[in-house]
Amino acid sequence: MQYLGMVRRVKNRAIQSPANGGDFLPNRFSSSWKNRRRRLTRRADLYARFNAYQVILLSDVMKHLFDRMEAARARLIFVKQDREDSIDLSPMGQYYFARRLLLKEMQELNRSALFAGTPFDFEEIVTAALETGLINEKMLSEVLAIDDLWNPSVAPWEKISSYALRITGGSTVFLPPPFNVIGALAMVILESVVENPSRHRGQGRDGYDPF
Amino acid sequence: MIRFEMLLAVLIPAWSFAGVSVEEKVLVRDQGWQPVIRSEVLPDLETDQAFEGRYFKIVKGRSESAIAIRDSDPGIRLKAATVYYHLNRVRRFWVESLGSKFVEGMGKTTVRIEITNGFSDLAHFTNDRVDPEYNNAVTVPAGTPMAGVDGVPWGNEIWFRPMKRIRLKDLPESGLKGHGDWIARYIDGSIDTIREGVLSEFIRATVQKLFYPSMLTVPYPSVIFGSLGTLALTALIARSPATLDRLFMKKEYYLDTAMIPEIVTHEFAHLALSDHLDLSRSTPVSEGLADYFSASSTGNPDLAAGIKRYSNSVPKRGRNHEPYSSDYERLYFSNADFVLSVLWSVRELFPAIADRLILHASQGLSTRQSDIRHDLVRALLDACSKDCPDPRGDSFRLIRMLEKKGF
Repeated sequence: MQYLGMVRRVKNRAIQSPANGGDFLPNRFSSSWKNRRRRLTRRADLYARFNAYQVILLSDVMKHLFDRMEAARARLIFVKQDREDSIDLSPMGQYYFARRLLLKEMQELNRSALFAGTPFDFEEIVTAALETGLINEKMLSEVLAIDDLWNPSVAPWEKISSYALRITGGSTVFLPPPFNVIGALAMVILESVVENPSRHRGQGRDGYDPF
Repeated sequence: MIRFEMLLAVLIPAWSFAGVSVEEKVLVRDQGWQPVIRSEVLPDLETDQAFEGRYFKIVKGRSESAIAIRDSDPGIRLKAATVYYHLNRVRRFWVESLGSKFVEGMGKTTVRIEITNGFSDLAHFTNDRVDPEYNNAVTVPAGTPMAGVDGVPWGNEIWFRPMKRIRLKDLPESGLKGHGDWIARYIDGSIDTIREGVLSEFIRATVQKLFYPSMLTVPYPSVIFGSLGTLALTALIARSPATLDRLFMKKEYYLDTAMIPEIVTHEFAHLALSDHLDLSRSTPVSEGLADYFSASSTGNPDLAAGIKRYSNSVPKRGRNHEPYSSDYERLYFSNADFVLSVLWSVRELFPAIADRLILHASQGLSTRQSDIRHDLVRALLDACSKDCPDPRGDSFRLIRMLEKKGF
């Protein structure tokens, strides 16, 4: 009954949030395993660790992000003694700033008494947002990429190239000349491929230009 | 009871524009996007004598009379027919697919081909002898001659300049030293550094020879021969661009704008957007929007590609991975294809609604003030919040796409 009461309070919030159009269809993310050994899905784990109000608070962190992103304008004001200096953020600057504020809110909430003893991560915020209907499965991949800022995803080829760079770096020292030149050349080529700036677009960057 | 006079009152306006259709040779793109010349029907002509129709009048140069369909110059006939055909085709796209009321209500537009005069907003044309222009096309705004100038008011017009093969080495101020190309400039810069090094070494060795001969580690003749040899080699390298140019660089530039369908539709797009994007100047945003609608009307993201007979300029590509740079905001880069690539990415994200969404976004922009990073992005997001089926989710997808484009 306690569990049902919790879910009811959370779902009531979903009805108030018309953004989802009342979409209560099951989604694969919430139904996926969080802890397979303990047979806990992400949804079950969320309700096991947090009460209804905490789930709503977690969802509200995401809601604040959307409110900031959807604002008509965002402005930075530097207040000096005799005047104010204001700068309008560009739309993408607004998004990057809102994302940084989400990280800040997460950290503050984690430290607060409301979540003492129950730390949470970004995926739990996403699960809570799904439960309250703030987001739907269609936008899930984009929402999950928000934490690229502080938790950049590393593509498999990047892991491989990182190992390869370490090995070729060692080969320039341990291989006898003139064969160490091959290692040095291989490093130069690998670095020029790995360090290609276009590959890092949208991955762990803080935006080209916050303004 | 229907009287005969009432019937005539209804039928005569309809009959007054029955529309004549004539078949003429035009340049079109085939299924493989190759340019071919084939017979097509030219719709809505007023007579079968001239290239003047309900919506467009094709004239030559400064003339106000439409080019005759039986004009003695086959090149002019082909050009006029090609321009007329594509303008009518793209007008139908704007009216039927985009639902543009502005285009539907547009009067007849004069289209000039083979015109070399510059545009003057005070007198319509600059003098025939002043700086003739070639290899471009322009959409000019309506205007009235200033007091004291002969002429009549004119409407919005599209002008296509004739093609002229211009040799690159004949270009005036290129701003480059050496042999007038970037390779020579780079080599010259590098060689200057080498020459300075050689000279320093020679001076050092000479001073040592004269005052501290015991400190000289290399025989002095070796220093002289080494320095001279390096200088001779650098002189040889400095001359190499002239040879490399002949092998690798383009020797001439030409662009026959009236014979490239995408340029014709691009210019019409400027006209179609002129209700809120005035024609006073070319900006990256206005050019990018015109590029997009030109590409969208055919479904192919490439403009002026694969048409070497009429153009050897670099085509514009809607699918390119160039990231955003603030350089693209400069008017100098108005004709870059960055904005086209952004808008084409929007189309790939929302194929069903992209045209309407971008048209809606364009209505919030202005020629004089709108930039890419602030205004175009804001306009796209605002339009998506109203037009997208899932405003929040789709806006998010749009933002992620823009992030990957380097914004």
